[in-house]
Amino acid sequence: MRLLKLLILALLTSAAAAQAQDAQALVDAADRYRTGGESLQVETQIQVYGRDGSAEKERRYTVFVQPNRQSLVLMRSPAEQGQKVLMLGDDFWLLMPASQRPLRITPSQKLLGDAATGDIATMSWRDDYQARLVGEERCDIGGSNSNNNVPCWHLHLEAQRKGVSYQRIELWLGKAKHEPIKAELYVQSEKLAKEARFVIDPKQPQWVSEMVLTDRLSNHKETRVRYLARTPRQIPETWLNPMFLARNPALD
Amino acid sequence: MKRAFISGWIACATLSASAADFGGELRLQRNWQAASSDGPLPQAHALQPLIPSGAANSSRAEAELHGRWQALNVNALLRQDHTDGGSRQTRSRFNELYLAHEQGAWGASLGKKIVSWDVGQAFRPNDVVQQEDRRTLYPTTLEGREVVQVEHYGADAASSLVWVQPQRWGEGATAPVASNESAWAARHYQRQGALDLHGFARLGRHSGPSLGAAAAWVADDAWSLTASARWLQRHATAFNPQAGATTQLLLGASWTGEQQQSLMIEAWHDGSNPSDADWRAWQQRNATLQAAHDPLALASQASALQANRLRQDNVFLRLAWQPGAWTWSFDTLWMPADHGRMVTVSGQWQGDRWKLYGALRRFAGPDGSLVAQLPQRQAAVLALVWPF
Repeated sequence: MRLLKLLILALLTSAAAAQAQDAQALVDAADRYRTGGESLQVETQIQVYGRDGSAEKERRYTVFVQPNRQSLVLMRSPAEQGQKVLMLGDDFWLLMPASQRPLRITPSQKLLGDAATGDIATMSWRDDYQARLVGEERCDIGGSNSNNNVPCWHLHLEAQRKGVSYQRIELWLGKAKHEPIKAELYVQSEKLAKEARFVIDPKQPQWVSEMVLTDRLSNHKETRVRYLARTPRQIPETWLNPMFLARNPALD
Repeated sequence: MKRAFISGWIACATLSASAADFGGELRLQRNWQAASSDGPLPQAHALQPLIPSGAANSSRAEAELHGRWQALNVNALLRQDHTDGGSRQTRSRFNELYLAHEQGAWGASLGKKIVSWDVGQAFRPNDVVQQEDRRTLYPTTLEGREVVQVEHYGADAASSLVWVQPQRWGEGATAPVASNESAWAARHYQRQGALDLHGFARLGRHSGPSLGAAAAWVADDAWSLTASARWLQRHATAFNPQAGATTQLLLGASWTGEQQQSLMIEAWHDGSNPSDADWRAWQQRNATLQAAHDPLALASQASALQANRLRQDNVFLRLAWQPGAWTWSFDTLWMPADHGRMVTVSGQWQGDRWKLYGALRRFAGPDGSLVAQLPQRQAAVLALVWPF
């Protein structure tokens, strides 16, 4: 009898471990649709739309995504030109061109703005979240056609680090190809901050070409984050030093 | 200088075709000031109306252009000011004009450059190179200083050695001290996870040595703490150009909420400001001069009143909220010694390109407080900005 109990316990434990492993594998697959590499230069365009659907503003960013959760965001639009955000793991700095002084910012400050810097610079979930498979569900990918209701895997992602933008993410992936379809992004207080919808590039179906974020916390605006170009790029180590960035060096 | 400036503008314009980060801003600004009825300058004005009251409305148009071509970096400013009922003045300057070169872990700069240090917001004792005028009503790009700078970068560290205003090294002690003198300054920065540590040293040609340290620590998702301290062997005040050793100390905390609201509080002691005893003596002198009906001497007393250098002990509180395109803020600088306060309300709208900024500052406090004796009772600014 005792042996039977041990056997059942072992089976349950290994099933849970296998499920966790499956969940992490699904997250890895979803990440590949967004990044495809550890060292990247991503040209990003942000378009913000008001509640009535009218275009409010457009911004351009160059994002250098590097290994070990390091990234550098350069603001390219005239209204923000010269601003930079550096993220080294859980540590963040903002550099403003008028003062040329690195300013330590908190994870909450990283969330400020319609297109939060964290949304632009964070392109993988693997290193930041522990995934758990909730189960199979049908999810609506938009449109009125009944074919738009597709089978999905529902994953529950719980933050493993203090510096991440969102404490919890509910993520839905396509069952067949594991592409990200939609997500609910929750902040520390367990409030739903944003809903995200992912658009797969029809010409390059291995990539997410756009992430559509709808604010659910304050202004209910829609922000479209378009990935215009992804290029493999390893940047010099000095570029990841906030004091070097304060020199306002050429970063091209 | 004017010819050099024009050459700079032409250089900027030439660079515009090739430089990747060429850009600039056009700014229109309207300033309003309301005169105070208290203090030495308003009292001198009351006795002799030919003495200006210290408050005037004005308009300003500015064009700022910046660009980079290979090692050359330029930030040029063209400004026209018009005071109501007064003259029109056109000025130009380079905010920055320097050569920069990076080689591996080393960097060097030569020329006029903005070099800002320290961790505080409202007060920065260790901003020993730039010595930025803090808490201006409408902050714009700073005017850099002439520097020779060498820097070295590690993975989590950086060291910087700066010779500030080397062209003034040979000037005698009659040169203005501290802010404009030639000096050597050094900074070492070390990152330890969520903690930024800084060490500073400065050797002024006339003001002598000072040592400082600062730290910025992100405590959790919402809170960050800052601290900065500096010891000076000598300093100068409005009443004593040859004062002895003193200290400056800043402590600050900031909190940011999920609804895009933030709170910042800073408290500091600035031993380089005049002491309470100095100010008491100044006020007694004012009373004597007013009783003697001496408007010229009374007006000259006002030169000691600099809005950013009043009491030694100060507390600064700022609340801000950023709903969408708008940013609203309320801040107050309070001086416990006499309960004087400067209260500022500001709003900014950021569109796709245009930016509109407005701020109103009120100088208030009980009779006899230093803030209440500033020439202005309140000041306001409205600015329209078009970046390109």
